[in-house]
Amino acid sequence: MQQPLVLIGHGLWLQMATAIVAKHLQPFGFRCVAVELPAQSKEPAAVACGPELATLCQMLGLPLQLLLAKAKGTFSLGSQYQHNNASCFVPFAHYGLNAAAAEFDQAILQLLQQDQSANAEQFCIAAVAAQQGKFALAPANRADLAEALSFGLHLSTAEFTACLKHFNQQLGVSLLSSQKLQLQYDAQGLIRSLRLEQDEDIPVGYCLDCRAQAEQSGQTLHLFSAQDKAELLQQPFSTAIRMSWGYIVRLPLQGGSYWSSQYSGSAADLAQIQQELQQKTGLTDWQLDSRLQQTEAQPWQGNHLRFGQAAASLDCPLYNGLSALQYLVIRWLDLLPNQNHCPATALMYNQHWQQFQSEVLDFLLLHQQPLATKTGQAFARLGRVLNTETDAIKTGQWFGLLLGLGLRPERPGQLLANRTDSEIQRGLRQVQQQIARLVATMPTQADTLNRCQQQLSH
Amino acid sequence: MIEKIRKIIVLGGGSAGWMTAAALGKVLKNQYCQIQVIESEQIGTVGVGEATIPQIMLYNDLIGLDENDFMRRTQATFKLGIQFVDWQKPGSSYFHAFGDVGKNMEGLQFYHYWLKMRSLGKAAPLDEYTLSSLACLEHRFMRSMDAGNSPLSNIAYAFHFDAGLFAKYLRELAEQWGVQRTEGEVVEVKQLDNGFIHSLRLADGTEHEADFFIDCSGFRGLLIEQTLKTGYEDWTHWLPCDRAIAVPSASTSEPWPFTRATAQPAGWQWRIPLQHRVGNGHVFCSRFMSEDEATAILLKNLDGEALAEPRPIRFVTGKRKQFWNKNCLAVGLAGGFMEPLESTSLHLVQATISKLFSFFPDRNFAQSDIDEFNRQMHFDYDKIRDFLILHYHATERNDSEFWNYCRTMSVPEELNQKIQQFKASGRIFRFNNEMFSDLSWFEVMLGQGITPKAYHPMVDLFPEAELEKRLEGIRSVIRKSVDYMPSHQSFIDQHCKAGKIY
Repeated sequence: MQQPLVLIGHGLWLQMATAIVAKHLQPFGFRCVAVELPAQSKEPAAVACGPELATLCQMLGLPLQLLLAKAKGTFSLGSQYQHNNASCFVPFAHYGLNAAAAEFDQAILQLLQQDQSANAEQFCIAAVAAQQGKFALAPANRADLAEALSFGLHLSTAEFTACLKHFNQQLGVSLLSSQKLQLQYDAQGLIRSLRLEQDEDIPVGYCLDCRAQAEQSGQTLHLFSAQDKAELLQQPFSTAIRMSWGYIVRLPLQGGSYWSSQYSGSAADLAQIQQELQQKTGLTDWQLDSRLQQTEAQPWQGNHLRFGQAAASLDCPLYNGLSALQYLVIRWLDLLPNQNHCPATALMYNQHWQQFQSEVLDFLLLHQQPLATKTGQAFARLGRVLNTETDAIKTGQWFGLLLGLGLRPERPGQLLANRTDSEIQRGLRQVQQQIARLVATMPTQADTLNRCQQQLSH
Repeated sequence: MIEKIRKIIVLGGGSAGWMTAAALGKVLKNQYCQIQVIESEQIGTVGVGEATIPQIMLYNDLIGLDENDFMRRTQATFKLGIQFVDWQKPGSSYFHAFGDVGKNMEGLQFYHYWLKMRSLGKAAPLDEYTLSSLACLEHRFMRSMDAGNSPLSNIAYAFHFDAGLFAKYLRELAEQWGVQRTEGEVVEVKQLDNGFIHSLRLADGTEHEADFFIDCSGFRGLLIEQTLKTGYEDWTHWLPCDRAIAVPSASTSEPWPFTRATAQPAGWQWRIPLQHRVGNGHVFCSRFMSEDEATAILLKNLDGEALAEPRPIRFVTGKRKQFWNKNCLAVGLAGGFMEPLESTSLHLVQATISKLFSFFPDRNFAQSDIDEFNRQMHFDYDKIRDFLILHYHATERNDSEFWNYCRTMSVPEELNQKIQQFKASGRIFRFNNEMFSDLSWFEVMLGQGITPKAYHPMVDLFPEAELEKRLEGIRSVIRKSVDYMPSHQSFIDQHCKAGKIY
């Protein structure tokens, strides 16, 4: 019998990590203990989950319909970006109807070069559906459509957390809470046990630390948040509005929206930002919270997994740290079972995490300074999205954002040089028409949500 | 401001040179810019008989190759994998087969289930669950057919062909697509003040200018190294073989649909079956064996009579420090050399060509594009290198100084981690863009004698009896599928039989 896996932290991240770990490992005799500690900072009221959530729910056996109903959920096909007077859609999915279609993106770029008024979004079913407020779950036998309509969810954090907590209770996880915590180490530097309040000791096999807060000093981040009651079911997407200091992100939920924006500069600017937020959104009740953020390059050290701190190093309104946390947990699970401490495994794991982290950071930097990133430079010259080694950011997201930021390649792709312009335009037109036909038959998001509700009540 | 490339010179006309020229000719149609190949009949090519991997299909698709015509013209045979003989220890043998191994269940690789059942003594050899391996053993072949969930719907294959004929075939195509060929030997390379290559002067006194030069001149790297002094990263401490002796021999049987790599006391011997003959070679390390000894071993192990004098080849395993330097791109052996143990040479040529199209330059030669191109090429080379080192390092052989060296040498840290990880849990951890899949790693690690201590615990969720039934079902489907396949020879006879060469 292995020593227990002890998860520590708070709220959504703790419950999510616990659900994944317990579901996977309890059947093999691992005992899971989750220790809820006091919150270090306030959790955002809503969370934007990426397409990995659907797969995860399937793995957990947690119906999406349940989450949608309980956590005021809505679907998300991507993000609508608003820059000054322009807007663009950044989908989770790829462009075109076949993910493997070679050089389809290059064909779009070629069209844009020839016709400045052309719009790339007409070749992306997710973008077209989003603009029309439509959303459908692809039929089980249409893996191609499921890929072209990859979606995430917007969920209310508190209710989502409650769902997961209930799920964990049903799995038989020991859920404890403690106001204080002390890690006790053995001579080899491994965590031997956790001491909770009233000097209760819990033995530890692995400690999965989901606490987000940096232990030492870190960069101070200021998070503004607000909520409104406007229901935006005609928008199966989030919105990101460019401001002078960064972005305001709006996540629509059933019965209202959650707004957030992050600032990492001087505290002296906060009042001015608050004022601009009010002017831009018309909302007066903006809350301000601050937290410390620290990078974490070695989340696996001995038997201590610093998942929370690693995920928090990427967490911001434009990228949800929950996605990083899920990646960290699942990657670790893929390596853990039946395994004693194998230093090579931890090294490889940390290397992969560093790669994941750098790809997300590159994506975030792209928003601010597109041409300061290698990805932005390569796209601006050649129209190519650089190969990525992890699935942190989907190809459609890179391509959509690069286009949306106004980057256009200096030189068209050479692999299409053996196709005539009319061949390319004909091919694109066929895809566009097929997309238009498919979207015409799709239900609205509101209809799909109703159907989900009905499925649940049956 | 785009300053279009006006002319490209490809220097060298072996497989790499003509693959590059044909791809450029097909895609750019000689309309975008002029493409010229300069080659000298005086300078031989290394190509002796080339084996490929399934990724070659991407190249064939790019240039729109008619597969049967290509097979006939190059005396080609089909390839379903590589058989490694005597690598783990004398008398051992395993297949690194293309395509699927068994059938994945519940999102988990088949091999985890197989590992469990093997540990219980209830699994047949892995080959019996692998369509390609079993077809190799029985010398059968067919292309995929539309057969629903049957493994016959998804047959991964590649080719063996005569590299000299392949280059000739591609040359004909390239010339049809407007590529110009110039016969001549380069006697001087002229550079601009900034070090960029300006022109090549040939022995006949003619001078040829271009904006972009592709160096396919082989090991010597006439442009990338002798002119631009790019530098070479030597890997002989990890891949110590530095010589090969090649000789064709007469076929004594129907061609096998696989390459055979047989370990020898100081290296290994290849056997590549073609329609008209068999290509053979002995790769060895000169520190541990003389050329005479290596030649004797090679000749002793031929199936049929030698058809030519054995030809020696010298090389240094490693890669160029930059594949693309200024206005010169090294392709093929000019860029680096890794022995053909996993048939990666032509794959690296096509990978270079594919990246060239992605990063196609203009006359400004943006350094950031060149840097990213080089980064991706280094990634490809390094990952393939690690996979090759695995074959030498993970062995129980202690019957020669060479194998003692290989078995005990230190290996790149990332490879070491992969091996440790596999030993501990039977898992393969890899990045998205690594060329070899986790199945390839599994087949070779297992074949080389690395036995994992554990399999994925999710396997235990299956009741043992149920698992036994499922494995037996898979084995039976593979058996029936292979029974359905015609012999390799009859498939060739029916679809792509080549004319005799005298």
